[in-house]
Amino acid sequence: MERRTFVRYIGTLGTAAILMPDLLACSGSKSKISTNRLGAPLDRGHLLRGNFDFAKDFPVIEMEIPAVIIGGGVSGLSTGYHLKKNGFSDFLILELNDQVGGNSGSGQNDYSKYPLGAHYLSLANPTNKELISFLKEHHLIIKEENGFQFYNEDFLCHAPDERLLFKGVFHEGLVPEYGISEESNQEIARFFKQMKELKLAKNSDGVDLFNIPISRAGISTDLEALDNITFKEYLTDHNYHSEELHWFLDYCCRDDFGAGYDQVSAWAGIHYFAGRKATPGNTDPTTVLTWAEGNGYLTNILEKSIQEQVKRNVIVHSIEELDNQVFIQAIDLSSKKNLHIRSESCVVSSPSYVAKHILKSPHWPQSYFEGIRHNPWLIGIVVLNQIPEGNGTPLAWDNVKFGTKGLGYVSDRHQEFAQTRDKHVISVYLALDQNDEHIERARLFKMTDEEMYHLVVSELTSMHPTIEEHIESISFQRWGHGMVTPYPGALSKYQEYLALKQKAKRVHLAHTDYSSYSVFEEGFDLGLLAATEILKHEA
Amino acid sequence: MHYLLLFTIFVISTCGLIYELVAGTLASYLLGDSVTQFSTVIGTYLFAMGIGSYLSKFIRKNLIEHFIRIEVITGVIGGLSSAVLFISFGYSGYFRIILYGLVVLTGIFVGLEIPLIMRILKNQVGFRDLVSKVFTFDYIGALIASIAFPMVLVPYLNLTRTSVLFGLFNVGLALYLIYYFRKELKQPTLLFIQASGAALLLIFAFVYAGRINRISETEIYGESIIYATNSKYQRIVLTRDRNAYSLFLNNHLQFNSRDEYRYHEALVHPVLSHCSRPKNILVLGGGDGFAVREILKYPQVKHITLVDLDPKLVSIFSKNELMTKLNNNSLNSPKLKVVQADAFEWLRNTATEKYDAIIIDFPDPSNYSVGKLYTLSFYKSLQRVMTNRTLAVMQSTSPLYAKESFWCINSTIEASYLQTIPYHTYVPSFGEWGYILFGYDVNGLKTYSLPKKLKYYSNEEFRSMKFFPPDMQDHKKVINRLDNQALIPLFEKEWDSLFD
Repeated sequence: MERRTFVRYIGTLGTAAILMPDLLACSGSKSKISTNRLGAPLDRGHLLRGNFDFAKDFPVIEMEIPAVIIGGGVSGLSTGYHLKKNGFSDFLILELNDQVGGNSGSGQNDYSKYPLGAHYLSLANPTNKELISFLKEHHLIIKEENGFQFYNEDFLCHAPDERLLFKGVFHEGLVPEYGISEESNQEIARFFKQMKELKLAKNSDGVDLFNIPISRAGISTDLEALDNITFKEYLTDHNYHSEELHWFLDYCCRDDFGAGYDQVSAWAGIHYFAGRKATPGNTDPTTVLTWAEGNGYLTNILEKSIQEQVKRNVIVHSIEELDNQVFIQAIDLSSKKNLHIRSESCVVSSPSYVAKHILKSPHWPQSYFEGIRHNPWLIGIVVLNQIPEGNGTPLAWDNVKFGTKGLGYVSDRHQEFAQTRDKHVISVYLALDQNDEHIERARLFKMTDEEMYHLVVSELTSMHPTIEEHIESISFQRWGHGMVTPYPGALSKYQEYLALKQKAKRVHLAHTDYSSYSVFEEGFDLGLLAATEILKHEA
Repeated sequence: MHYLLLFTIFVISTCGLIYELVAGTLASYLLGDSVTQFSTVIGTYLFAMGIGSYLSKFIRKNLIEHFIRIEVITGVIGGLSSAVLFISFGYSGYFRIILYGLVVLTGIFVGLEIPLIMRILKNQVGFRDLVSKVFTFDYIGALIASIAFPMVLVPYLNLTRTSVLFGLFNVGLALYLIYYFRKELKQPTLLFIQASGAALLLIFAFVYAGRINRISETEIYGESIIYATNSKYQRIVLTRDRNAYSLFLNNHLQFNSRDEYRYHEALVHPVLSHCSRPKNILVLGGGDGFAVREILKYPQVKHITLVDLDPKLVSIFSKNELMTKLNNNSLNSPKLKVVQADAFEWLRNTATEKYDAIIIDFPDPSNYSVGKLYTLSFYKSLQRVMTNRTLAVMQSTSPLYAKESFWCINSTIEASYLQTIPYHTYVPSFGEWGYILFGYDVNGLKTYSLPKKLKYYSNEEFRSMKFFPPDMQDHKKVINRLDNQALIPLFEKEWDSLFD
């Protein structure tokens, strides 16, 4: 595909929500409730819509920069953070949007900050020394003693963290337990026992089979077998039939991967449970760190250390790996200049669906990018003038209904310290995984405000029948591509990445799309590894 | 015609007596001591009627017109008196002035009525007959009013609606008289408009009177509710049982005026008397002003900062004269600065000074929101305003009914690297109640000063307060953090089991 065609492709199909912000900020809903669409400024969308003719008269600036990072998401920022930490500051991070963060972006309304995507960080595995040191540096971990991490209580998810609407009552926790059959109960216990055992499983070299980040996990043929079947098939093979357990695991997959357990690789499904081995000294290992702005909190502190190196509002439209350098062409929308950058090395921290169009490198064939897939997401940020209560456990951080395909909602003001608040802000998450991703994406971008309103409100109404009268406004965030979905074969895709990476010279790929698991820890680790490559090269 | 006017006498005398009864009842209901209230209200009312009768001589012409106007005014003032008194009780510091002001005003207008009627009738009936008839009807009206008031009106209508209804009778009478004398009046239309407006106002008040009057809630509390309101944060209810007052916030008893001195002396004096230089004091919660009252007993105290979430609560306790009597008007002390804020947020974001002593009087940890104020994170935030010598105290629920909760609070404070001295006392309306005194170093506390004439607290008493018999001990070291809020389930379990 030609570059020009690609640009039009982005425009018409409205690929990533980051790349393709919404063109219209409208409040077209007929009801009294105001709705609006979040996204970058209007003209940004127009710029991307057509071609780059608008920039043909912009002056060309020739630049030589030792290292260039394309994309200011977690992986790109982490690359920069680790470079700087090692005393290297001759680099630039080029970010298309006017805000860094990527999937960890965040917004703010009159009452609260809110995440636009990723909204929590699980506690760090003890093997993840670099993450632990980052968390210490920013007082998220207060101290480490005898191998136990003591987390800053203020940022741990406050109680109650989760509640499940099951049999008409909200219960604490998301695992359905109340009033279920003895068999179900035993199966659930057996499943968690098995996951506990798998946490300890090691390969022949004595390396953990499951670990986060994936780069710290061992390779084994057992894992490859798991990667060839779906998580649902795995459960059936292992005699798990409990309806409650199946629903719970399906929910976990949709929540973390954007696709159901009948689509996700068994390896990924197990990884979700067996990969977590945190050893906190002052809280439960399954607790998470969270903030009103979600992981935007983390990307903001990452960015703070490298502020001078981050350039926003830059469209990178070509990266060519030549024999002795990388040639990058970009448009700086702020200064209205064409940038021609020559660099020693380049880290592509763009998602796969962008990288495949802009990157020309003998080491990264086009074919590699095929088969990395993402489902679209719709998020509704809802302002309520009444607390969404219900029977049983009061409003929690994460609120879910048993038996539905919805993912429930997260209370964005949960981490506040005040006793009371008159407005509540919640984020309703909907993974559009019912059809093929292309169909769903097209459907999402054709949706009117009324249709999105209906989707979000019916999800809420299923949990709180009379909530609609308490809604004051809804903002919609549409993601053409959510997190990467680890379908069966995801692990072998990651191994393909590792093999290509070994041969790569000047262009490194660092984005969670390539590690098949979209969590902060992966992006952070990919950035660390990319920074190591650059430093090696510089040395 | 003179029969109409005699009927008029009957109506006005009934209305007049009803206003008097409403004021008397309301005063004794809200202020207690019914003998005093009734006696002073009736006396004032009769005296005001006398003023009215005296003033009647200055009305020389257009007697009927004036009489009709007086009816309309009496109807409005008397009719709305009860609603005005109920509302002003909560919002104004001058309740007694408003009460007697209304009584005097109503009395004056009622006092104008009979002399005017007699003058209107004097040309139609002989004087002997006139006096006899007028007073006969006057006394019959009084009898009917005094029987109907306790037996029918208050039970079925409530106080506010009763007075509004009789206000409507006054105004209704005025409307009938306007119709009857339409040809003799100079401005019948203007009078009609005035009277109709008054009638509409009273009908409106009658419909909405239910919202003002809260006597119906009395059954819930088993005591008379003298004031009830919803603030942005909580439901505030004041009740009276004979001469004792109780405050309920969201149906939880906060104090009973009979024994609150035990609770508040035990809350404040252990900290203040052991503080070497109690100059700058912080009070968190405690918008009722009782803790401040105790603090003000130390002349060394220069500044008190009170942080409370609910301005409405603070306003009641700084303005209502009954409440300011109970708290010695402490909330109006020039040494006091009131900050309307959420204590946790204020500590985290606003507080800058250090305090010599800190008194914490939060509601019990009965839900996750309040529970935040009992977490490790809270005590760490509190340390921002503490020096090495600061002494603090926190009310910590009952170590008898909720001993695990009590000791959980103690363990949590200890876990924030502070030392504690737990103690408890008996407050009849609460039962056995617990407090935790804490600071960086609470070993070897010395008594520096203790105010004289305390009703309850003494150093000897404090020694025994620190002793915990086995039924109030618990050795589990549960720590309450923001991410587990372990205290909430403990508290719920323990208090629920008490009522099983």
